[in-house]
Amino acid sequence: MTDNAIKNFFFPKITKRYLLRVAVVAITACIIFKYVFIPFRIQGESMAPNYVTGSFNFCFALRYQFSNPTPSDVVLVRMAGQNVMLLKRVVAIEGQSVEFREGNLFVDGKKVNEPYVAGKSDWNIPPTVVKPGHVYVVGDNRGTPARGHTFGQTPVTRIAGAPLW
Amino acid sequence: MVTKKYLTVALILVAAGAALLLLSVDWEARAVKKQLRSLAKEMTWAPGENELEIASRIRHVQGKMAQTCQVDIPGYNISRPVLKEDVPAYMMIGRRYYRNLSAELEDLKIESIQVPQARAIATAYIKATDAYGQRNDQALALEFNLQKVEKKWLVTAAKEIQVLER
Repeated sequence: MTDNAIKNFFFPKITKRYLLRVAVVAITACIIFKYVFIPFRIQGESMAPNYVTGSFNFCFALRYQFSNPTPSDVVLVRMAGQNVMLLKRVVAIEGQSVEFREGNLFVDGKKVNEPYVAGKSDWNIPPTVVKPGHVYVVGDNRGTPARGHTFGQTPVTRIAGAPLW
Repeated sequence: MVTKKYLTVALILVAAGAALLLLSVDWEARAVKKQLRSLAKEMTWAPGENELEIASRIRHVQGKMAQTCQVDIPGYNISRPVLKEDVPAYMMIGRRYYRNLSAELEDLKIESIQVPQARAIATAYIKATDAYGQRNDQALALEFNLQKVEKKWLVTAAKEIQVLER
């Protein structure tokens, strides 16, 4: 690249065309990062070690536009809005029964292999049937007592999307 | 002369824009949001605060509550009507239980407003350290009911919205 090209790249001439291009890029970026790939930072250890506190990701809001979450999907659950959301894993869908016995997850009475869960857990939660239009979500970090962990069933409509990675 | 004419037109346009902006703002909704944000700010404490500061905070919180406020926050084991005069006692219990606490309201939205009643929802992001030094951060979806009494919006109810049902 010549010096002139570099200069033009960093200090372009402010023309009508250039301003229009900047406006289009800015508007597109706003739409994409507000409605499609919503940036978020993880706070909390609920999904450790797979998603650790302080890490950055994007919520892909169109992920469940044409399908419903399925077990083992990681999803973001909306609270009052999209600024603070819960990052959880779907373990059961509507009509299924969920139970924890000595830290093991049982769905419809069958033990589920959960390679994403690290560490030991002593959770004992009696069976619950997931209501229609709901999914059962829980964090991967089950090392903490169940009392201090946020989990349970939530309407599918509360799911804002899935993390991009 | 031309400059003066342009200046007048520009001034008229600016004035019209400002008037339109003022008319389009929902001042009551703004007042409700301001009151709730201020309440969250006052629900903050840290070790080493002096007595005067604490007393002033408690008075401010008390001033934002209605005579009776129905509080239903299972996440903190609170489900009872709280009288305005009991607010200092509850705040002191909270201070004993949590060494430091800060609350921030995110996604604050006015669901409905018909003076003198208003309903708002928000996610309260609460960062707390208990008396034993254990961190206990929580995010709660809350619904607030407010009533306007003598030009002031007072909280009549605060209820936790159940996002995840066990």
